[in-house]
Amino acid sequence: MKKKILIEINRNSLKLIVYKKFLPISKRFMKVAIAGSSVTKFGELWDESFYSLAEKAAKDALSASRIDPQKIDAIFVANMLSGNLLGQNHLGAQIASLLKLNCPAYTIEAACASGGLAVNLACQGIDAGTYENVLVVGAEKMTDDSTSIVTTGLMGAASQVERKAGLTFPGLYALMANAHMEKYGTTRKQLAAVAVKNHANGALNPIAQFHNKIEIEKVLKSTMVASPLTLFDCSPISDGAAAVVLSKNIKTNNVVITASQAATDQIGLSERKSITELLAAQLASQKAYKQTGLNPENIDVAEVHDCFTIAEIMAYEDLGFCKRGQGGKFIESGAPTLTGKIPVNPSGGLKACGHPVGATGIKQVIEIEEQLKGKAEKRQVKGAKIGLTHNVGGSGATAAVHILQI
Amino acid sequence: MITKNPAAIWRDSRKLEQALGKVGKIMAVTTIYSPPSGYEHQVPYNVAIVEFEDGLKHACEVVDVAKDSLKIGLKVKAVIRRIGQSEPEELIEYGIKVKPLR
Repeated sequence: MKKKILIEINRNSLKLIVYKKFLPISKRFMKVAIAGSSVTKFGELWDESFYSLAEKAAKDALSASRIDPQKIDAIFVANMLSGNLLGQNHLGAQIASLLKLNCPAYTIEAACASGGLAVNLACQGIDAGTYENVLVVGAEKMTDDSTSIVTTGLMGAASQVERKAGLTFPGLYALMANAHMEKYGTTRKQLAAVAVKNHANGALNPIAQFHNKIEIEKVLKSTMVASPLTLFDCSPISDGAAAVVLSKNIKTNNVVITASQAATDQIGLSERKSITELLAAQLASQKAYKQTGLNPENIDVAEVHDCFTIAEIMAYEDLGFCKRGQGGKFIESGAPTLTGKIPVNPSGGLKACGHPVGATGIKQVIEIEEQLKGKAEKRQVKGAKIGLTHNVGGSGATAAVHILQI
Repeated sequence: MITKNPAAIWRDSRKLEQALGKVGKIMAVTTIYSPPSGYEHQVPYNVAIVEFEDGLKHACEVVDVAKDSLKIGLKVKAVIRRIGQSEPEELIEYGIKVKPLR
């Protein structure tokens, strides 16, 4: 798209004013403050309901922001499965009710990228000047139901053809892993190394679902879910909630979202140009880099969507952290570990921190916020100033990428 | 839940004829051990992305295949097979699966 530039001639000087509203969104400068945030414990939480989790995260984020709840202009609720699993739809009003607020409230569903997309929409609303303060809440309660019921619900993120073929999400990513291994020589051990790294990070994160360190052998020998992926290649079924209050008013020490981008691709894996990469993630990240003028080399820390180990390997490549096909070697080199070149998933990622679907994209933003503020304690990435989040829906049909700076 | 409404099954089944007998090759394959509801009785079963000779790509189950021969590049043919499981009062659904081309 061509930049439309308006030139204003002043008597004394020639002023070149690039009017923000005439630039395409991907090139617009963005500054949205994270005024407050909160994330609950992730895991199998028998004494917590969907409602109690969402309410807790939302109220804690609001009080952390010190913004009067009555000054919240809109609520964005991220969730995928409450209609399937709880019979609870109409979530916008549901969350507003819990908080006793009367502002507009919207539900955002984009499968596992619901959280990232809700943050994306909130950023757009603030950037456009529609809202001053927005509450974004993501929550999911998944452990009350059997694995096959949750698996069936999650397949709502895939295409009809894939559901009828008996595919599952581990199955879809197993197909990508199979093709990636064949095309680039990626090995089972390299896939397993992602789970080992993320469990090591999760062990340092108080809210993580799993605190156990694991070895490569454990991943390789665990129960097969969809070949070549075993149980330890897969993120778990989790309960949890996360919330952020976003604001146009930037205060000292606020972490600022400087890029918020999303993209889509064919919902069915077989319809895509390539099954060894996620085009939507590439497009969203390229737009985010362009929006900030940053490069992959500038990123100090990243939270990426490791729903399966192969997904993190493809993320390294899609985000430009390494060359195409080199994702396996990248993890082998130790580059994405806490002390490596670009630490990836210091929270433990979806694999070890847990994956309550609607909360995940928001949790990623909160983890990066903590990292940039230097408050991530044992899992702190030293001197991190610029961070990135990468949230993927379905087998890659939606991707949301954010860049955060302090 | 995937609908088992007879009208929905009838709508989808109208397209089956065009796909039958088509030849293609496997681009990626997996064996599923943890199934969605309705597929428990088939475990383990194989699902592949198949590229047919007309350029169309499709995700479908691979049947009548020996474990050793199940890999990328295997030539397959589209056949009609029963899809999932039906309750006694429900319509039996048929769809396209593939088997190795001999």
